[in-house]
Amino acid sequence: MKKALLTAALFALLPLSSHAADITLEVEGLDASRTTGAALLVGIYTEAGQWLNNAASGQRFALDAAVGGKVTVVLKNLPEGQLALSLFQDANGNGKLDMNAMGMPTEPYGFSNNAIGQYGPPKFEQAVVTPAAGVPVKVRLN
Amino acid sequence: MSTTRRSLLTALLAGGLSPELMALGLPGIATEAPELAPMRGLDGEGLDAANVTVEGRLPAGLNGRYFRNGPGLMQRAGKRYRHWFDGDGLLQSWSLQDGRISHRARFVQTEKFRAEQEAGRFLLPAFGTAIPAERPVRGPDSVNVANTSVLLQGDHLYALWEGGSAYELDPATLATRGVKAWSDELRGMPFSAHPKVEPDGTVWNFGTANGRLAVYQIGADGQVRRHAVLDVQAPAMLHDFAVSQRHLVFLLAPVTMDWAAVRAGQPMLDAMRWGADRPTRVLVIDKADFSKRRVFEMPAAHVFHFGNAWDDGRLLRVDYVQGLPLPEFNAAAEQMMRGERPSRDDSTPRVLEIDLQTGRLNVTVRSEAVEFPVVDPRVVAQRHRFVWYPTSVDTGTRWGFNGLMRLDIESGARERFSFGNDVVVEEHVLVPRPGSTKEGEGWLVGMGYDVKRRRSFLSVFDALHLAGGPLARAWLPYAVPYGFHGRFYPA
Repeated sequence: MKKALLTAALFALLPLSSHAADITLEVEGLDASRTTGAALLVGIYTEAGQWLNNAASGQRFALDAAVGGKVTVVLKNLPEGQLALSLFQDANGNGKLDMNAMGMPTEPYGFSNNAIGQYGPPKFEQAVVTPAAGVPVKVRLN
Repeated sequence: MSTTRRSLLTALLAGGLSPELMALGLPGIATEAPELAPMRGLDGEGLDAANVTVEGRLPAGLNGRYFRNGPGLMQRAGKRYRHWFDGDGLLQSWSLQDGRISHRARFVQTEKFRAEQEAGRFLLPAFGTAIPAERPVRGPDSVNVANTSVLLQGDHLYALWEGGSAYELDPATLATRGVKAWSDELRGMPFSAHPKVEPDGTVWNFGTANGRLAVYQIGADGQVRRHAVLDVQAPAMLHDFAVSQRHLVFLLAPVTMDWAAVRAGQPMLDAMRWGADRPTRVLVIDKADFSKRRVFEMPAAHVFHFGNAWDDGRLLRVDYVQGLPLPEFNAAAEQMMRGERPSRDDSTPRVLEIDLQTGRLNVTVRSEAVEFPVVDPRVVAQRHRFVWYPTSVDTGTRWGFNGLMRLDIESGARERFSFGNDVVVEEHVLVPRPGSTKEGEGWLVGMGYDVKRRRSFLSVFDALHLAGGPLARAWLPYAVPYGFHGRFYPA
């Protein structure tokens, strides 16, 4: 009986794991002095041609409870296969990555694979990851 | 810092430099160029002297706080910065009250300093030193060393750099409060180390990045009144400017950034290119309307510092110190960091007159070796007559200034004082005598280093009678690394 339940439970989980639809995203490097009313905005991209231009989907997470500049969130219902993430701390909750008058970002941002661009954002290929079931994606904002 | 540790440090700085310098791979400093010993820098700890010994008589009425900033830490874990400008900011505070003097120095706890202090080694590239980044570099503030100058507004003391934000400190304790954002949209903007403060408290400043020039007008209350970002093909390095009644005046030297070299891993400094055959552009901006701008041209000249500017609507007069072309200056700064006397290091006074109607320029050239010009704070952006500078009087091959000079830019007359060749003189600022109204009535206050005694001091002169020598000197029980700029705030 116990075994039957367990089997049922495993089968129930199968669609999730085999399609990698949910992934855990561990983020560090938040500006801890600006988390009240702030949000983590995550853009999910599946094609190089759409990179930083037209996200396949976007998800938003309140940061009021973030502690020590870190937060762990779960991205749900993601498409299968490889993808690239662009994320930032929307410190003032206005829904966009703010720039100063010289065009420098004024809110912490980062990319999957911790990709770093040379005097500009990284390329899609640098940020691409293929999430594996049960393995969190880690990004450090800077 | 514990007393033992401080005593040890003091002993090392004051008396026992040679063995330590040998160990640090700087054998030349103590023996061949003792005037460069303070360039060794501190180890990241602060300094305190509660009761400083005063020699001579401090003028009654000279009460207040004198803040100075400069590069104070030059090496970690055997790795030494290559350029003087790389050093991490050491903020000094002198307190003068009824003849009693105390001194305090603290490192500005920048993001870079805190991370590297914890790691015990350099983790980030410096302006003139190639250090592979072991921490993310998001923008200029990731490498901000807050080491150049100071500004006080109310209870807010700022340690200023050039490429990034001001760092705010507590003026009483020198504890770092954090990066200053003048407003949300100005977060992370470059804010130069040479703001000009008009007698009514209005602050003008600028910053450059990628060829663009930001200008700021800030009220005495610390609120930003106006700001703008102007596309003026600003040079890769712009250190100072001047403000007159009607204009902001910039000298845009032909310095460009070779971005390919930066991407290839060269430090910013090495990637700067000097266009000797291209003009220095004189940019004149209308204070009332930033869109009204004029550009004049003069032969290539590299200028760090201005004294002041004034105009009568037709004639605009600006005084400044012309330095070596940038590559030669940098070579000299690197020699100093190695403990070697620079092969060439001269900078001399200039007065530039611009006829705004005809566009004609006239430059008066002088030959005294000077730097760090200051004027009476009461004449900023007004007609002025006097400029004070540290100067060199018969220093021979020795590095550094050993005297002070007052120049009357109207008559060309000068007055000088020399301490002789055992003293290095740093910037001295003018402190108006309370109750006085005439330009120059007051004291000239600054720091110096005595090569024989191996101690730093504060000196006070009658600003209109320099030749009479210092009225007083206050001797620290230690040496302080040479600083750049300071400001005096009367009590």
